[in-house]
Amino acid sequence: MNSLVIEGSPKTPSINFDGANGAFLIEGRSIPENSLDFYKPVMEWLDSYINEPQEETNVTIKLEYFNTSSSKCILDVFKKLEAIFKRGKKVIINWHYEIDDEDMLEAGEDYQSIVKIPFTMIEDDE
Amino acid sequence: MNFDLNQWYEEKIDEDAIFDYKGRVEDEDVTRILNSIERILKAKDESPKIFKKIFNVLIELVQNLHHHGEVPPDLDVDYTKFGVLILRDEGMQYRISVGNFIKIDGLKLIRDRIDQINTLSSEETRNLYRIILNNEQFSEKGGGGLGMVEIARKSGNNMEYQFIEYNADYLFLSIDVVI
Repeated sequence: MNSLVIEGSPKTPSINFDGANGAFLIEGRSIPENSLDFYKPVMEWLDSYINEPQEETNVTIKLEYFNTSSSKCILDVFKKLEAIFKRGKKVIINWHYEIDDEDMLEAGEDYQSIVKIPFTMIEDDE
Repeated sequence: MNFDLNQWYEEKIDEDAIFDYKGRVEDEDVTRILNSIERILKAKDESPKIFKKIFNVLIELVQNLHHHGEVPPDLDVDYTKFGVLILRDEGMQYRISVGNFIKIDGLKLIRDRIDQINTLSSEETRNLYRIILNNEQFSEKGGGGLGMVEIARKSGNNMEYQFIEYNADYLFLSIDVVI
């Protein structure tokens, strides 16, 4: 399985999905005006990955900001991964938030309440 | 004409105003506005927690202007997205005022939505956010229908709003959010 790499910009996160090792990273800011456009290639790549997933997929989310239109796209990413989790593959989501950023912790808890994949909440010191 | 936009705008800009913008709200303008405010808040050495709250609310408000800011024909400009934003540091709190034109037939939908959100407790706001997040719908403008809920949730305060008559087809909607 190939990898998906999208360089970050001031309004879009960097994406690094390593298909061979099942190590996925979304990092930075996700505040584009039209999130559907940005996440379309991500969803398409995930559609292929879930057909031949690794035994273990480790997802790291390290977002500084995300807007509400991205929030639905991020949920869609998790829902795609939930499909392989339900088929018995191991999937873990590591949700990072900066120290004292309760809003970002709560955002992680929102996803945790909707998606069945186990979440690990990780507080980062700056 | 009853409503004088320039007068309304000038009256909002007093010594507390630390940023103001009136004009086109295309993609690049959204970026520019957010960058400017980020610089201003960083220079004020605001706590990261407050800074993030303000910035999160601003992102939604500015993108609302981008998606919904109409241009009445008599505004006589060559673009199609118009909005106004003023950020004020009132000492104990920050106040963000945004304004944009809407078509009159959009009044009920927006008013009902804000009124509904304003009645909710913080826990109810969080629950509503989760419900809308999971409803798998996007509006035709790409918004997730979550913006207003997010603004209320992050600010922890009710939105103050006003609809001002502009002409037979348009209203001017102003919203104040206090953080």
